[in-house]
Parts: sequence; structure tokens; C-alpha cells
Amino acid sequence: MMSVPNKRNRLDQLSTVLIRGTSVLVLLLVLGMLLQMLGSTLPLFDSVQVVLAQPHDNARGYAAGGLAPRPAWVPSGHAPTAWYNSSTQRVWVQLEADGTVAGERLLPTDGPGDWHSQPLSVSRQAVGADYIELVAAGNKVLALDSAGRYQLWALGGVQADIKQPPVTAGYTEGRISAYRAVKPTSGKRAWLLLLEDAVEQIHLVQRDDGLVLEPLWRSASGAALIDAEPSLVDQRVLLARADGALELWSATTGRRLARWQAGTSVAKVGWLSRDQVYALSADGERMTWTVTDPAKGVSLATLFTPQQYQGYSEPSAVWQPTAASDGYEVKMSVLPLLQGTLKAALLALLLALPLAVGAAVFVGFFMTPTWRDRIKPSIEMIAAFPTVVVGAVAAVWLAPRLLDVLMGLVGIVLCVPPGIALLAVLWRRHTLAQRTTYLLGQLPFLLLPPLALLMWLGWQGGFAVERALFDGSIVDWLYRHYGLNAQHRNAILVGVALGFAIIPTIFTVAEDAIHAVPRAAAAGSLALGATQWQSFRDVVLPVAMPGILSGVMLGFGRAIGETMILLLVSGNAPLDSWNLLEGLRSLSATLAIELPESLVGSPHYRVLFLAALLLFGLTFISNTIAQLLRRHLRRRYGFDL
Amino acid sequence: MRILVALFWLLWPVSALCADESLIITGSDTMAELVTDWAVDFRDLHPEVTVELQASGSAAAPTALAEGTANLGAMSRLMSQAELQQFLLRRGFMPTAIPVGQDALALIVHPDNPVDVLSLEQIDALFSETRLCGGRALPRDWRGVIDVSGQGEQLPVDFARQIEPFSRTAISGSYGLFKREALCNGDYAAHVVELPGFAAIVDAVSQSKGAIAYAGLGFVDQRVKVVDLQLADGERVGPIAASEIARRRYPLQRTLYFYLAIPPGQSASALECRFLRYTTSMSAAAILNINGFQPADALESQIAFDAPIESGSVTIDDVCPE
Repeated sequence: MMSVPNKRNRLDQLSTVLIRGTSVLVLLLVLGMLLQMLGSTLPLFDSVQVVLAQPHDNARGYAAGGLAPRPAWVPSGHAPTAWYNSSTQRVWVQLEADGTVAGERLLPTDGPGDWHSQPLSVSRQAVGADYIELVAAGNKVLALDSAGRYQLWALGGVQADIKQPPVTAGYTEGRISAYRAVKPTSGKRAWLLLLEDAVEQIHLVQRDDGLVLEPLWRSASGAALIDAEPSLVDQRVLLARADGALELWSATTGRRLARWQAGTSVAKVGWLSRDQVYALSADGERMTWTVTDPAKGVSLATLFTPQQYQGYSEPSAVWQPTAASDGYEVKMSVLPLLQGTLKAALLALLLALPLAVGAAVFVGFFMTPTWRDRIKPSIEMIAAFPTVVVGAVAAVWLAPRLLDVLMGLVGIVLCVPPGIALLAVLWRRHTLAQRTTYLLGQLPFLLLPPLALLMWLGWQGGFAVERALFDGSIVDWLYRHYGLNAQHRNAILVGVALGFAIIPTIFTVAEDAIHAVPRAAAAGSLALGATQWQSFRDVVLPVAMPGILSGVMLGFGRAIGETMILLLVSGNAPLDSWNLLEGLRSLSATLAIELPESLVGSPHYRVLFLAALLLFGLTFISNTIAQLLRRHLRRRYGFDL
Repeated sequence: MRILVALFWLLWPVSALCADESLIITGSDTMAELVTDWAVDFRDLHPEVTVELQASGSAAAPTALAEGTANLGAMSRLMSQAELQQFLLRRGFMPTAIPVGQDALALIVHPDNPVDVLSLEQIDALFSETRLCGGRALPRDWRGVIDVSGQGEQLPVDFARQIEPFSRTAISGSYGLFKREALCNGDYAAHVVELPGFAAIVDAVSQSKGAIAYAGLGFVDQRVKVVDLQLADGERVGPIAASEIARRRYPLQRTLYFYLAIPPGQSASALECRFLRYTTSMSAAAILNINGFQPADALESQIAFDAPIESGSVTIDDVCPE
């Protein structure tokens, strides 16, 4: 007889242990994920470590200096030479000892592997250039001289001469006049000038009046400079000073990353690989250091503030993390991504909130139980749409049409709410009102014809306004008068698709909150003579408010984390603008696009995990607010959703 | 595409167990249709072999090869120094690249757009933030673009549409090629819309009148119009131009490669060789042609002269001795 309760007890205990165990496991999993993300992100903020390597530790990797081998079609010699090679043309130019620039342009012919030649030559002007470079796809020649002056020539068209006079010429800046050497940095659009006691980098910028050279950054002064070498694969510069100190600088931020002592006087420095640097001492001995720098120039400043990048006319917040080519200056500012995420989520909320909460109020309070049982599941059915389907429909069907019907939609949005309010007021004055209020709760479809009428009015009205005031196209009108650009993949499209996807989340929670308010409270106020609306507003709404807000926050969290819709319809353009007619790039879509292809352990990989942490933080905050609101509801009114 | 990729990751362990032999190819979206067609044809010849394809972009190939999750890495460009370094660190040797075809990127616009030819500087100004090819800034409106096709008077393009540039996502080899050749290594402007595949791009261009984009020639159909390019010396070139020389001087073309991870002193596996040998067959060449590509030896293979580490582009006979 005793065995049954014992068995039950054991089962009870077992299930309790199981349940507790699982919840602890879930917590541990969440914690583990968080730790993993932190572990992938935090090395970004480590300080740079430099360790002297064993002499044989550098067998593989770059040839010292890493310079490109001279192709066979470029004549050898000691004169400064530059060349450009593509399938379209091969160009080389050389500074001759007599002060002329000689060169040759090779163009492909019909035969495979054949190139025919066009000689190029020009007499140098007053500037005695010491350094020469081909820029702009081999169509312009840049010459720098020892006084810091530069000239930019355009290589001519059919006549194939270097055009005179130079396109632009001028001083980079007076203070850099004492440089001794020019070194190209990766990408060949910026050059490092070695000064007496510092380095300065200058870069090509396209201004309104053409290409110009401008100073980019300058290292701090110190002991006399011996040598400096830019890394050919990223934006770091190694320099050696006369007091035996070696310094590593980031060209993006212009900050010093590390400084250490070679222990002897150094004659030359260079890079062996991305993570190894070497120095040759005055007596020819080579020392190698391993540089542990997981960030490679990424810092809080580059992530969260606009930076002056090579070739940019002003400091900008840019997201361009990969280029599939070497020496590219990675630009990883998470600002455009954060802005895009918030832009999409806020807009979605703006569209979903009135619809979802309005529906929740009507279904949860005014509808009869029979209709509630029919309507509620059908709204919740929206959640059953996979978001990829929503996104695909929006991208394929809605995207080409949205800009054309924009004013119609705006008309509906502007017309329906006041129209409904107006109809309600008119209805109340009508003698039928007393009887039909009850009827409306029972037959909600009676509300549809006036709603459809209002929507039709708004739709037609919107187009009428567009024709009358905006010359037939609001998009063109905005562009002409305010310079606002419009794209087919825009934030409004994202808002519509995303708003549709989060409606069920907000609706379900808000409706449950409203429905959970004890009927007796509302019935009491109705019995005392309040109207249905009065009893809803003054009795039910205050109680249900935290629940509704909780639903809104959950919907917001969902909108922030949503990926598929954003990937398909947002255009993935990392803009830092709030223009709703242009696209955006969200944190989640960026992770989906880039994480599978980023090299494990690279700065890009770590920054993506930082983006994941930001995403986690945003959804965590909105979900926590939702939970706190629910708890508040439970504490105050003693019931749960 | 993402779903296919996800499905692939879910299913490949299962299918790998079922098939007798399976060859996994990861990488370029440009080559996706080509490799799929090859795989179908190859399976007719060798029914015992399953060929699986995961196509998301060239940047996926080095990672997959280094991790050993793919036999062949399909890439529409050579590996970058960073990718080679990473591969070297992981495997201790260099990967091998075998050219299998030649592709051109066509500049496409909506058929209603009257533009027939654009200069390199204009292309740069339309797509880039930095305009390193030396062009002037253009308003984002086709009426601000000067028509360079006329001989004498140069008038603005008569087309009242805002310009909407489209690009592939940054993991694509085409993104890098276009950046190097058309933007003079400058940066894409932030408003350039990134779409995950050429099919989506061609679709988007056919649906928005002001659009301009680049797309692999194999993806271009009659719903869009191909625009020619005017070089700095006035020559008009294009991927489908009538003359051979105008096609050869077109800068937006590149070689397509299969990458293999072959340890030094060894050769490729029998299965890999069978597939590589197949790609040189007549029927494979016909499929290459249908997909809009040229054979690899039609043009002199471009070797990146500014690459300090040469990964070495070799022929099939080098890796598959008889």
C-alpha cells in the first residue's frame, strides 16, 4: 500500500531534478555563448605584444620588403620606375637621368599574348622629381620631389604623350619639406614620407577640382628616424629610430601601437609577414620579432567614431571590411550598422504598433468570445509565415512597386485613423448606436465595408495629392527640391515587411494582457453606467498596460534580431543616413553575409562577434524591459499572462 | 541561396554517408551554374560519384579548403595574401590554382535607359566614394551623366531617373575585380545596394529603370541592356562587342580557378583528377560556352604581378600525372 505514494514521490523528485537541471543547463548554455562571444571579441582590445623570435622562425612568408617582382616587359635599371599591368593596357614610366620621363604603353593586339607599343615621353618641368608612380588605372603619372612638391600628369589619349601642363601641381604641405624618401603604402593611393624625426603619410583625394595629394597623418617626433616600412597587407607602419627604438604605428588612427628596444643600432627595418617584423643592425645581423596584434589597427575609436580614411575627403563612418585584395584599408565602423538596425526596427514598430495593439484591444475586450476564438488564431497565423517567405515576397513583388504607390499608402495611413474617429462620432449621434454597439462586437465584419471605403478614399486621395502638388511623382519631387535620393530597396519597404512579421508577437502578448484582466472589474463599471469604452479606458487599460508594453518590447526585440527579411529587402547598403527612402544594412544581415566567410581569428571575425554582442545587447535590453514589465504586472495585480 | 547553403550544411554529412564517392566543391557564385551543369553532366559519365556544390562567394573557398570541408574551391579570382597566409598557417603548404575558364563582367542597365557607352571615369563616379580614376562627382540622376557616345557635341543623357547602383556582396570575387578595374582600387559608395547573387541583380535591374549594375556575362539576358565601356584613349570596348580586339581590351574580365589543397610531393586524388580531366573535355567546353564563359587558354592568363607570394597557377597535367 505504501509503494504507490513512494513511487509518486520518487517520480516527483525525479521530474523536479530534471526540470531544474534543464533550466540550469539552458542558463549555462546562454552563459557559454556569451563567454564565447566575449572571448572572440576581447582580443581586439589587447595591447600589442612583441616577442623576439628564434632566428630560424621566419623561413616562410614574404620576401624581405615584399616588393613586387619587375615584370619582363619593364626595362631594368636603377632609375625610379613605375608600372601598371592589366588586361587592358600595360604602362611603365621611368625617370631618366637627364630630367625627362620616358615610358611605354603596351596595348593588346589580335594575336594571343601579343602587345603593340606606344612610346611615351615628356620633358620634366621645373620640378625635379625623385619618385614616380602611376595612378588612376595607369592613366596618370604622379611625381614627387625632394622638396615635397608633386605633379600629376594625365597620360594622353590617342597621341599617347604625357599631357602638358600637369593636371595639378602644388605643395603637399610646407612642414614636410625635409623628407628623404617616399614609400608606397598598400593600395598605391597613399605614400609614406620619411622625415628627419617622424613619418608622414600623404594620400590622393578626389576634390571638386580634381585629384590632389593631402597629408593623412603624421607620427610623433622623437629621436632621429633611421628607416620606416609600411606593411603591404594592412595599415601599420614600422619605424626605427637612432636610439635603437622600434615603433609600430597604425596609419588609420595615427596612433602608436607598440614601442620596443632593438638593443643595438638599426640600419633597416621590414616586414616578413603580417605578424613578423625584422631589423638589420648596422653590422648586418638580422633580428626578428613576432608581433601579436589581433586588432591590426582596429580600436574603439575606429569602431565608434568617424575616421579619416585614405582617399576620403572627410572623416567618415564606413563599413567596408573586405575587398578580396591585399593592402586594402579595412573600414569597420559599426555606426552605420547600428543605425541601420535601429532605423529598421523603429520603423517596423511604428507600422506594427497601432495595428497590433488596436487589434489586441478590439479582440481582447470588445469582441464576443466566439469571434475572439476565430480571429485570434488567424492573426497569430502570421507568425507561421517563415520570415524568408515574407522577405522574398517583399523583395520580388513589393520592391518594384513600392515607390510608385507610396503616396497611396501614405494616403491610407493618414486617412484611415481620423476617418474611423469621424465615423465613430457620427455613429454615436445616430439613434441606432445604442443597439448596434453590442452588434458590432458580435459581427466585426460589419466594420469592414467602412474601413475598405476609407482605405479606397485614402488611396485615391494620396494619388490625387501627388498629381496636384508633387508633379505626379513624390519621389522625383523630393529629389529635385531636397536632394533626397530614393532606392527601390528602402527603409520603408523594410519597415512594411518587418512590421508585418512582428505584428503577431505584439498582438498575442497584448491581447493576452487585456483578456486576462478579470471580467468582473469591467462588468462592475458597466453596471455603474460607464460605457464600454469608458470601462476599457479607466479600468482595463491601466491594468493591462504593462502587458501591452511588454508585447511591444518583445516585438521590438524581434525586429532587431530579425535577419532574413533584412538580408533580402534592405539592400544591405551601409549608409549613415536617416533617409527612409534609401536602403540600410543591419547588424544581423551583416553577420549572415560576412561571418561564414571571415577568416577565423582575423580582426574582421572579431569585429563581427562584437556586432553579435551589440545585437545580443540590444535584444537583451528590450526583452529584459518586457520581462520587468510583466513582473510588475504580476506583483501589482496578482496575475500572470 | 542562403537556404540552399543552410540545407547543404544540414544534409551533406548525411549524403556523404550514402554516396559511394562524393566530391565537394565550395565557392564562387559566378561559377555556380557552370559547376552545377558540369556536375550533372559528370554524373552521367560517372554515376557512382556525387558532386555537391556550395556556392556563396569566392571568399568561402579558402576557408573550406583550409578546413578540409571541400575537395575543390571554385574561385573567380586568385587568393589574396591574407587568405594564402591563413591557408599556409593551417595546412603548412600552399594551395594550387588551376584555371578553368574566363569570365567577363558586363555593365547592365534597364532596357529603357538610352545610355550605350560610359567612360571608365563615369563608372567610377557612379559606383565609388573615392573616384580614384579621376572623374568628377556625378549627381545621382541620369540627366547629370554626359553621353560620351556622340562624336561632336556631348549632351546629357535624356533619361529622368535617379541612379540606383547595385553590386554583389563583398565576399564575391566580382566585387573585388570591379573594385580594382572600374573603381581604380577605390571604395564603393555606401549607397550602392548589395545583393547576394547575380540572378538577384539582373532581376533588380530589370525592375528598376534607373538601375546600373555589373553581372557575370552568363547571367545577362534580354531583360537588361549591356553597356559598353570607353577607355581613356577613346577606344570603345565591351564584353559582347563585335570585334575581337574590343572584347580583349575590355578590362572587366578575369580567370576562373579551381583551387586544390595538395600537400607537397603528392598529386590530387583520383576522384579530383577525374573531375578536373572532365573539365577539359569537349562536352565540358560546350557547357562553359553555354554559360557565357570562354576557355581558360583563350586569353593569356593574368598573373597578379603585385603578389609577393605566388600561389602558382598550374595546369591539370601538373597535379594529375598519368
